[in-house]
Amino acid sequence: MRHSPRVNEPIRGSVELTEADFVDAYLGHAAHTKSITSLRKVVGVVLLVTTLAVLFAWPPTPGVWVAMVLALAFAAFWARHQWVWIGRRTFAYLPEARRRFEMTFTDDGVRAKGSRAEVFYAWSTLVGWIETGAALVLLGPAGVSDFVPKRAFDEEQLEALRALFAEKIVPMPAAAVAPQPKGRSWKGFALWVLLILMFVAIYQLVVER
Amino acid sequence: MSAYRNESSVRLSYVLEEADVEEQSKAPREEMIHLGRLAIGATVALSGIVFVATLPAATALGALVFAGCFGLWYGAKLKAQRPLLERYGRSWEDRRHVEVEISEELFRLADRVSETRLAWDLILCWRETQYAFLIFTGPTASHAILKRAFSSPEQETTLRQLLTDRVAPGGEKVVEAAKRAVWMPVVLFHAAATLVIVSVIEAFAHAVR
Repeated sequence: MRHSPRVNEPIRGSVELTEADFVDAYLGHAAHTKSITSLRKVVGVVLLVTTLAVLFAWPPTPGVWVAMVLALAFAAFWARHQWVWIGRRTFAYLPEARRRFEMTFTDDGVRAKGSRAEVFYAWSTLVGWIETGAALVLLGPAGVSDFVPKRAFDEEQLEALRALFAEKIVPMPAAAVAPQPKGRSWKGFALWVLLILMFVAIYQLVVER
Repeated sequence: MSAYRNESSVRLSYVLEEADVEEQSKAPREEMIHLGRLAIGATVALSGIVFVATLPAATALGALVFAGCFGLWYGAKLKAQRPLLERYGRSWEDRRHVEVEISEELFRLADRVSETRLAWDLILCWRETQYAFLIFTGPTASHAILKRAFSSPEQETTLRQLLTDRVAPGGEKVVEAAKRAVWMPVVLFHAAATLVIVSVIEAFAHAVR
C-alpha cells in the first residue's frame, strides 16, 4: 500500500527483504567506513614489501612463498567478501516471519509492522544514514541499524524520505563517531614496521647461531 | 521500579544502570577471550603444517612468537574495548527506562524511544543467568530482563514458567551453531595474516643477509 507523501503525513511502504538487500546494505556500510579499502591497502603494502624483498633475495626459497601468496590472495578476497558473508548470515538469521512488513515513517520515528512482530524506534536512536544503489541504510551507534529497500517506495516517497532523514537524524558529535584521532593509522603502521624489524633481528640472531 | 503479576502475565519497569550494562558485556568479553585462544591455537597449528610442508624453521619459530605477540595485543585490545554503554549513543537516558510486558499472547519490551512486540514463535530460546533472563530473538540477538526488577520470587517463577511453556525447544543449538560460524573465519583470517607477516619477516631477513 502506498500513499503520496505530504508534509507531516506518514510515508508507508510494503517491504519484503531479500538476501541481496542485506549484502547491499553491509557492503554500502563497509564502503562508507572505508573498511574494504583500508584492508586492501595493508595487503598492498605487504605485497609490495614482499615483492621488493623477493627481488633483492632472488631466487627465493620455494615453499613458503607459495603459502604467502595464497594468504595474500585470501586476505584481498576476504576484505570485501567478509561483508557479503555478514550480510548473508544476518539475512539467514532473520526468521521468515520477520522478512515481510509494512514500514511507516512519521515525525516520531520508524515503525515496522509484520504479521508476527512490530518494532518502533525514535529518530534519536539513529546517528546517520547513507544511500546505496538499492537501499537507504540507517546507522546506529554500533553500525547498520536498519535499511529501507528503495523498490518498496516510489521516487516521490524516496525524495520525501531523504528529506525526512536529513531533518530528523542528527549525526553523532565527531568525537563520538570517529574516536580515532587523525594520524592514528600511521602510528599503527609505524608500530607494525617496528615489530617486523624486531622480528628480522630475532631471525638474524637465530640463523647466526 | 514497579512490578505486578496476575496468573499468566508479568509486567515490570526498571531503570537500567551502568553496572547492569557492564554485567551484560561480560559474556561477549569472555567470548572474545575464547576467540583469541582459538586464533593463537590455529596460528600455532598452521605454522606447524607449514613447517612440516616446507621446512622453513624460522617461519615456524616466527609464527609461534607472533602468536604470543598476538595474544598480548588481543589482551590489550580487550582492556581498551569500547564500553557497551557507547552502543546506546546519546539515547542512553531514554533507553534506560525499560518496560517489560509478557503474557501468554504477547512479548513486549519498550523504553522511551523504542518498542518491540513479538509473537512467541519468534523467540528462539532463553537462558537464565545469575542476574537476568536472556531472551534470544535471533542466533546473535538477545534482550536481557534483569532479575532485580522482580518484586518477588513468584514473579520470577511466573516468567520462567511462561518461557518454558511458550518457547519451542531446539533454539539453543542454533545459537551455538551461530557462534561457531562467527569464530571460524576470524580465526582462519588471523592465522593466515600471521603467516603473511612472518613470511615478510623471513623475506626481509633473507634480503638483508
